[in-house]
Amino acid sequence: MLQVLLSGLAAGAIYGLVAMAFAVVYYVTRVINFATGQLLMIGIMVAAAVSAAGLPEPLALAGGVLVATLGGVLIYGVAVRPVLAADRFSFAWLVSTLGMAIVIQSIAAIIWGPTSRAFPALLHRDIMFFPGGASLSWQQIAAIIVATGAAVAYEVVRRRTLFGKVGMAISSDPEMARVVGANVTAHSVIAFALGGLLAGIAGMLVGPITYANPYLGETYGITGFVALMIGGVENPIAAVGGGFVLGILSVAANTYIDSQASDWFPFVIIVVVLLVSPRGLFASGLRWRRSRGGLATAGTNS
Amino acid sequence: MNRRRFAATLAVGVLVLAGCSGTPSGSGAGAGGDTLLLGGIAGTTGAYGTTGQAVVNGTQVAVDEINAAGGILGKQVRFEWEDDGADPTKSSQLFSKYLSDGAIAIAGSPDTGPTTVELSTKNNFPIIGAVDDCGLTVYTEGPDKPPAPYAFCTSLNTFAYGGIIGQHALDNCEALAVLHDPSTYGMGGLYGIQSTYEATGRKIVLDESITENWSTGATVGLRAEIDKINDAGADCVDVWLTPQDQANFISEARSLGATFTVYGNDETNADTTFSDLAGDAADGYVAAEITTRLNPAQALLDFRKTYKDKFKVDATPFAELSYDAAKVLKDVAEKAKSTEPAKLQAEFNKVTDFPGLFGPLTFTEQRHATLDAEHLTIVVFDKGSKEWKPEG
Repeated sequence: MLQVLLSGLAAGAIYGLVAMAFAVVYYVTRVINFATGQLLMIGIMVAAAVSAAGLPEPLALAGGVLVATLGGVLIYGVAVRPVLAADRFSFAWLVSTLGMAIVIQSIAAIIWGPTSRAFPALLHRDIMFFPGGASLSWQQIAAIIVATGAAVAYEVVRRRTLFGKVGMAISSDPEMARVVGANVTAHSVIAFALGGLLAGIAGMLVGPITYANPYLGETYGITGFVALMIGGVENPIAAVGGGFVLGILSVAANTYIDSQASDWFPFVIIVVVLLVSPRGLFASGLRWRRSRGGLATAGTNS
Repeated sequence: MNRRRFAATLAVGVLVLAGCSGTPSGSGAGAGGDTLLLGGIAGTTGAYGTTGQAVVNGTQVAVDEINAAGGILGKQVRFEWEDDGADPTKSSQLFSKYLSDGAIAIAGSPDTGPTTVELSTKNNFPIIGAVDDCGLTVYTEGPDKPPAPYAFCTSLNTFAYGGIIGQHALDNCEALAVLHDPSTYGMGGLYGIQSTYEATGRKIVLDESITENWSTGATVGLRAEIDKINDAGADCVDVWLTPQDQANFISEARSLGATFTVYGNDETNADTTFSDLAGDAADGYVAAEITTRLNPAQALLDFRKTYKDKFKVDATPFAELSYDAAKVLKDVAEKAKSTEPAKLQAEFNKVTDFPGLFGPLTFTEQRHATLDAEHLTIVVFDKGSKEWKPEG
C-alpha cells in the first residue's frame, strides 16, 4: 500500500509538472500549448546528447532545461503570437501549437533517429528504503520535492508579488490590463518560457527512467493534459494536484486491477471528474470552500 | 485580408504543412510499365524503429542485387516502402495502396503483422519477410493449426525464441515469471515458453501482460512488477518487452538488489539498443542468437560488408532475413514463371533448402516460418567485452 502511494506520487510529480507547464501558459494567455510534451522531449534529447559528448552532467541538464525554455519562447513567437495578433478570440493556436509539436518531434527524429539513447542515471540508482520494504529512488524523491516546490513557489509569486498580480489581471482581462499599463506581451513570453522551463525540468527528472526518445512528447503531453483536466485548468497549483491524483490512481490501478489498467484508467478518472466537477477536482474544491467562507482570497483567480 | 491576418494564416499553414511532411516516407525507383513493384511496410519510427529500418535496408540490398542480375522474369524491381508508425490503420491503408498499384508482394510489417496477415488472407496476396516475428501472428490458432495461407515469414520466430528460453529456464530455474506485451508478438513468446513448460508438467509462476508504449518503448511503472515477481517466489523472469523496457527493468531490479536471472526476447540482442541503455546492469542477461550468426558463412559476411558500406551501420538479423525474403521471392516467381498471387503461393509452399544467409530455408503448406528453436543458441551478455557470448 505504501509502495503504491510512493510510486504514485513519484509518477504523479512528473505528470503534475507537465500539467503545470500547460497551466502557467493557459493562466496568462488562455492558450493550451499542445507542444508542451515536445518541450519535455527536446530537453531530454539535448541533455542526452550533451552528456554523450562527454560533457559534465550538470551542464547537460542545464542545457536541456535551457533549450526547453527557449523552445517555449519560440513557440510563442512563431505559433501563438501571430495568430492571436490576427484574432485574439480565434482557436488557430490549437492548430499552430499542434503543428509545432509535430515539427519539433520530426526535427528531433531527423537529428537523433528513432532509437532510444542513454540518459544520465543521475540519482535513479540510489534507493531509499521505507518501512515495510517500500522504496523509491532519490530521483523519484527529487521529482516529488521539485513538483511540490514549484507549485508552492509559483503560488507565492502569483499571490505575493506585483508581477504575479499583474499576471492575474492579464488572465482576467488582457485588454483592460493593457489599458492600465500591463505589458501583456512580456507576461505572455514569460509564461511560455516558464512552461518550457517546467517541461524541461520534468524531462530531467524522468529521463533516467524513459531514456531519450524523440516520441516521448506525445506520451507526456497526453498524460500531462489529462492531469491538467483532472486538477483544473484555472490554476497551476491545481494542475499539480491533478498530476498527483492521476499518478496515485494509475499506479493503484496497475497494482490492484491489472497491469494494463493504467492505459485506460486515467480516462475513466477524467470522465468521472468532468461529470462531477467540470472545472477540475481542485478548482471546484476551492470554489466549494470559498462558498462556505473558507480559504479563498478575494480577487484571486483560484 | 489584412497583413497581420495573412501572416497568421501563413504561419499556421506552414506549421501544419511542415507537420504533415514530418514522417519519413517511401523511396524507390521511378514508376514504369516494365517494372515490378515490391511494397514495403515497416515501422521505421518508434520503439522498434531500428528493426523497421533494418527490414527496409535489407530488402533494398536484395532488390539492388536482383536488378543488377536482370530483375525478376526480365523486369526490374522497384521497391517502395513507407513507415507504418506501428499503426494498424496506416498499415492497412498502405496495404491497399500497394495492392491497387499492382504490387507483386509486400514485405512486412514487423510492427503491424496482424494487420498485414489479415489483409493478405482476405485478398489472397503474398506477404514476405518480417511478418511481425512469425509466431502467433502467422499461426493465429497455434503452431499445430494451418498458418495464414499467404504469409511467408523469414523473421525471428517468437515460438522458437520462447521455446529455447523456456527450455533453458526449465533446466536452470526453480520458478519462472514472464512479463510480456499483450500483442501477438508477446503472446507468441509466452506461447513458446508455456508449451515447453507444459510438456514437462510444470507451470510458470507469474504471467503478467503489460501494454507497452510502442512509440517510445518506455513504460514507466515496472517497479510494481518487480514486487510481484519477488512475491511469486520466482528466481528467473523473462521480460518479453521492448529493449527500452528491458533495460529499464534490469536497471531498476539490480538497483533494488534483485538477484533473479533475467531473460530477454528476440529483440534483446538484435541490435545494441538494450545493451547501450542498460550498461553494466546488462551483465549476465540471457538471450538467444541464431547459431549460424555466431559462426557466419562467407555469404553472410559479404552481405554485412555490402550493408555496412551502403548504410554506414551494422547489419542486424532483421536486415539479413529481409534480404533472404526478397531473394526467395525472385526464386519463387521465376519457378512459377508468373507473379500471380496464387501461383506465387503455390511455389512458395514448395521452397526447399533455399540457400539463405542463416542457412537453408524451407516452406511447406504447414511451415510458413523458417526459424526453429534448434537454430538458436543461448547467449549471455558480458559487460567486460560488451558482447553476447554463447553460454559456457
